[in-house]
Amino acid sequence: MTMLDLKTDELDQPPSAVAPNRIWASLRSSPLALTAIAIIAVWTFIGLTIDLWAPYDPLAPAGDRLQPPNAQHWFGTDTLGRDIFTRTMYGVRYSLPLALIVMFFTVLIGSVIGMLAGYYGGWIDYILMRLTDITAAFPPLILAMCVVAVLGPGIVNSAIALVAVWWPITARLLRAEVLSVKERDHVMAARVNSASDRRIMLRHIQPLCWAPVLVNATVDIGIVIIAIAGLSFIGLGSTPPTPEWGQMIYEGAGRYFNWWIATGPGLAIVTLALAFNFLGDAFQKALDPRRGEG
Amino acid sequence: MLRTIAYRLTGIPLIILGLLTITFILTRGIASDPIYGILSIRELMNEDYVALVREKYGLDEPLIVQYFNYLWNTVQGDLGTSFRTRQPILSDLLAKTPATLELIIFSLTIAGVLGVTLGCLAARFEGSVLDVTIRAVSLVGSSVPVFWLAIILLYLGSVVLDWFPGPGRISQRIAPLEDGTGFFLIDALVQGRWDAFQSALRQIMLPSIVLAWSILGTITRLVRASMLDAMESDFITLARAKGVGSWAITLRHALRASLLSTITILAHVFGYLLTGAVLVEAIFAWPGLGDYAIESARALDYPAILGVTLVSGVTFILVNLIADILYTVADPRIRQ
Repeated sequence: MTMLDLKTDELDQPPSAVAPNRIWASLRSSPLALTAIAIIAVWTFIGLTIDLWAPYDPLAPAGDRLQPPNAQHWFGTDTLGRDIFTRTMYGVRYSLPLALIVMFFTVLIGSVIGMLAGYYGGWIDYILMRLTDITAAFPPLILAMCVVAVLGPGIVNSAIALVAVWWPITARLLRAEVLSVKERDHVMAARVNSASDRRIMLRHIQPLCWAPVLVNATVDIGIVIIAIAGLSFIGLGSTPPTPEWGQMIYEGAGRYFNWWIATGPGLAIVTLALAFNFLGDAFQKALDPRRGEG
Repeated sequence: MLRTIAYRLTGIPLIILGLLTITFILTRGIASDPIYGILSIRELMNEDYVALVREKYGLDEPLIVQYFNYLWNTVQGDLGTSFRTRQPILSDLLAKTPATLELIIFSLTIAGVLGVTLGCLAARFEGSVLDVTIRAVSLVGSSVPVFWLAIILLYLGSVVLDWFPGPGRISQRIAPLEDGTGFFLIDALVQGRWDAFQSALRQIMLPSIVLAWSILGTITRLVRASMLDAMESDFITLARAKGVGSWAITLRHALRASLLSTITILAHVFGYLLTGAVLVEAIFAWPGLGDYAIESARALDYPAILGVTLVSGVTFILVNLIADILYTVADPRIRQ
C-alpha cells in the first residue's frame, strides 16, 4: 500500500455529521425543548397505557348526553353521552403513530428522490425536480383530499395521501444539501478510490445531509398531526365511532353552543403539535446557531 | 429582465401539463370505473344504457385517447360534469370563486398588515422579551388547527360575547343583493345597499380573523428573518455609521429592503390560505370553493374535487408567478 493510498483512505472517512452529543447538550439547556420532550413523552405514555386506567369505555355511553365539563367528566360528554376525556386520551393512539409513519415514508421517498437528483444531476435531476415542482404546485391538503377521495375514505388511505403530497419538501432540502456535500474533499477522495455511486451516496454523502431534513421533519410531524385531523374533519379520514381527534372536532363543529365537544381533542392537537414545533425550533438552534435565531 | 420573465413563463405550461396528468391519473388510473359515479345502481343493471353512457362520456376509448380528450377538454374550459350537482364543473367553480376570493383577500390583508408589523417589531428589538413573546405566539399560531379555532372563536365571538353574527355570508333578514360581481362587499357598495354592506362586513370578520391567524405566525417569522438578514447588509452598516437612528434604519432601510421578500412570503402563504379556506368555509357555512370541495369530497364526486384541485393548483402557480415577476421588476439587482 503506497503513501497516497493511505492518505485517501483516511480522507475517505466522512467527517462526523450531526453530532448527537452536541445536539443533546444544546437541547438540555433549552427549557422549551425539555418541555416539548416531556409533552411528547407524556402523550406516548398515555397512548401505551390508556387501556389500564381509562375511566370509561371510549365507544360506549358513560352518562347523560351533552354534559358540560364536570367532576365526573372532565371534558364533558358528547352527543351520544360518551366521555370526551377518555376519547381524547385514546385519540393519541391514532394521531401520533400515524403522523410518525407518514413522516417516515415522506422522508424516505423525499430523500431518495432528492439524493438521486442531487447526485446524478443532468436529466435525472431535471425530471425528478419537475415532478417535485408539479407535486408542490398543489396546496397540500387539497391534493390530499383529492387523493383520498379517489382511493376511498379511510384512515390508512389518508396517510397514503399525505405521504403522496408531502415528500417534495424533503426532496428539495436534501437535493440542496447533496449539491454542496458532493463537492467536498472526502467525496472526491472516495471517487478517487473508485467507490461505487451507491457507496458514495450512502456512506459519504447521506450522513452529512440530515440537519435541515431533521429540523423540517420534526416541525412537520406537528403539521401532519393537524392534517390527519383535518382529513378526518372533512370526513375522509377515520370513520365514526373512532375516537380520532379530527373526527371528534367534526362532531362538535355543527354544535358550537356545546363548545366542549371540540375543546378536548382540539387542545390535545395543540399540545402535541406545539411540542413538535418547539422541538424543531430547538433542533434548528442546535444544528445551526445563527439561523436558529431566525 | 424580460428574459427572466420569459424563462419563468415557459415553465408554466409544462407544470400545468403535469398538474393535468396527475389529476388524470388520479381519476382514470387509480379510481374505480367512473361509470359508478355517473349512474345509479338501477341504471347500471341496464347494459345497453351503460354502453351508451360510456360512449357519451368517451369512457369506451383507449386510456391514451381519453387522456388527450381530457387535456383538450380542459384547455377548452370543460372540466366535466359534477355527479352531485349535475352542473358543468366550471360554472359551479366560477359561481363559488368570488366568495372564497373575498375571504382570502380580506384575511391576507389582516395577516399581512399584522404580520409585517410584528415581524418588524421582533427584528427591531431582537432578543428582547417582546421578540421572544412574538416568536412564541407565532409558534403557537401554527400549532392550532384552523378548523378547531374556527369553532372556538365562533362560540366565543358570537355566543358568549355576541360581537359577531353566526355562520353565513350575509344576514338572512335583509333583502338579498341583486346579481353582480359576486363579491358581496363590492356589490353592496355598487348597489348603494348600506345595510347589506354592513351585514356582509360583520359576517366576513370572524372567518377572516380565523384564516388570518392561521398564516400570521408564518408571515411574522419570515418577515422577521428577512429583516434580520437585511440588517446585516453593508448599506445598513453604512447608515448606522452615519448615525441614522435605529427606528429610521428599521423602517426606512431594512423594511424597504425586505419588502421584496415580503411579496414572495405573501405568495407563499397563499397556498396555506387556499387550504385553510377549505376548512374555515365548511364551519362558517361560507358558500365558496372550499365548501364546494368538502361537499364534493363527502359525496365522492371526484370530477368536482379534481376540478377544485386543478383550479387551486393553477391559481397557486399563477400567484407565485406574479410574485416572481413583481420581484424581478422591483429588484434592480435581478433586473440587470
